[in-house]
Amino acid sequence: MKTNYDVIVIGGGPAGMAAAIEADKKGAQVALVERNEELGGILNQCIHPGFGLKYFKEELTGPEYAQRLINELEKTKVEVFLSSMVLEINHLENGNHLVSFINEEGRLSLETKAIVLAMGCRERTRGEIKIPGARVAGVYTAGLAQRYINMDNLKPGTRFVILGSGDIGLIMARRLSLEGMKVEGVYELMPYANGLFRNIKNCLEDFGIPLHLSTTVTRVIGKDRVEAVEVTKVDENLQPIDGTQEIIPCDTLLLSIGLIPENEISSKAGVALNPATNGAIVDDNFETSVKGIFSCGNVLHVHDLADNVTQEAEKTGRNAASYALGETKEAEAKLQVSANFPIGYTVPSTTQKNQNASIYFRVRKPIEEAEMVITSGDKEIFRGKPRSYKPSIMECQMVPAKLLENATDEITLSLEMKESA
Amino acid sequence: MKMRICCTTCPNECELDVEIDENKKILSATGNKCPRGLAFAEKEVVDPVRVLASTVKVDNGAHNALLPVRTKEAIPLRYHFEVMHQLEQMEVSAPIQMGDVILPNVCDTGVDVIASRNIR
Repeated sequence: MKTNYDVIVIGGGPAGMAAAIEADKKGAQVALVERNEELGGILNQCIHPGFGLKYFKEELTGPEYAQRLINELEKTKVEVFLSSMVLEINHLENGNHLVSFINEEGRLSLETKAIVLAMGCRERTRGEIKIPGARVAGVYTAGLAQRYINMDNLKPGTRFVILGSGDIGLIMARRLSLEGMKVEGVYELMPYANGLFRNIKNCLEDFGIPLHLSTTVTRVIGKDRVEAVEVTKVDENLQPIDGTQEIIPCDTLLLSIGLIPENEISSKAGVALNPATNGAIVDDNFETSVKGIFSCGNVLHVHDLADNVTQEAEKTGRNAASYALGETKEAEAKLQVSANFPIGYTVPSTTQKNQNASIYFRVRKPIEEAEMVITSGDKEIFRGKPRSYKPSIMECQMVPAKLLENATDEITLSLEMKESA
Repeated sequence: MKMRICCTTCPNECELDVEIDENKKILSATGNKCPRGLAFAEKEVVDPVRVLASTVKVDNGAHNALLPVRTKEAIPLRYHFEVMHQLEQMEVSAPIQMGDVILPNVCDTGVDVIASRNIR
């Protein structure tokens, strides 16, 4: 059996598959290791349309989007290991890495020059936001309920309350309604909805499901199974307002309260993480703090669209292959990239002077109108047109190499508010 | 009457503010970046259409209990529960290829329900 590769990709979702396909196209010897028994990742359970508008230029469902990538992958020489769980990454003296995983055959270790981390996210759970009350059955993360209904043909409950207006929660509200289950309402802690506007419209309004903003679940009630939840309005500091409690009878509480990049393997391998994203700190090649280890997709930062994941992963796959094949040039002049509130983070954390930069970021609160201002030292090198920014949308700021000529050793992104929401 | 509409033709997701008369004719529309937004709004106020996605039971899939399916084109929203009811009665057998027609000309809309993936 072959035990030496140029690139090993960890994760077989849209990021991992796209990275593997592109690395293979560059002539690298590639292996892909996937925990599940089939490729596709979370796309397989996202049976709703809305994928691919940007990348494939047509509207696809999640499984279709995955199938197209699977079909592409099957045309390559990429070796795929399914039902295989990566345990650890070790570094070898020759500069290569050793990826160890288990599957039905036992423990395997493969040597590789480069690694692409593409493990995606897991969901935040009740424990993460510490909802008080009874420890009863009937509290699920929205994605788990989605898997039960869309893949396993299981029915998680009959009468639902959904906490969190992220896209998964909204999509599930529609799905449950179509399948004949009752959704009492979607409750959102923040004063604005977190999901895409199209999903508020097509998933809630189409089915007459109310969205309650600035309201959260403050207690779970029941004996063995959820019997009701207590919801309470919150003030501008997100603190519950006493006297506004309301009891909503239901048998199931779905949580759509955010995602956590699954970076345990990365951390153990010494990859430095960005506390703002819980993803790796990467440069403009999507290389992490560990030489030869790259990261892309939702394990790097949470994306709203699979299309963006694929594009990011394609670049990362090509970069990992270039590194492995010895084609990478050392960066000449690195620029530190930082951002001021309300910009929450930037990916990448560094870029290069002589290259066009694409800087991804997300705002922490809705901005009605602001100008993007990029400074270096005390010099302003770029000012954008005034426009609105939403936390639900991942933004990309392009910075042409020409503008970076005047930069010192860092650039800072700020939003100059015209009128804050 | 005033309505707010989200055009879902492309990822721009323009939000349109439209004003309609009692015959559901659009008097004014703002917020759309291209003419497709207006075309979408005209349909949306009269008879909104959506792509419907659901699942159908598979009687012999290796790993898969369900086949994800969708209508090939958007169909009127008012047919969605009827189509759900028809899909619930069905069972299909592997192998299935993405794009296979699972239920033709659903509710006489001229639109087929198709498979969203391969199942071996």
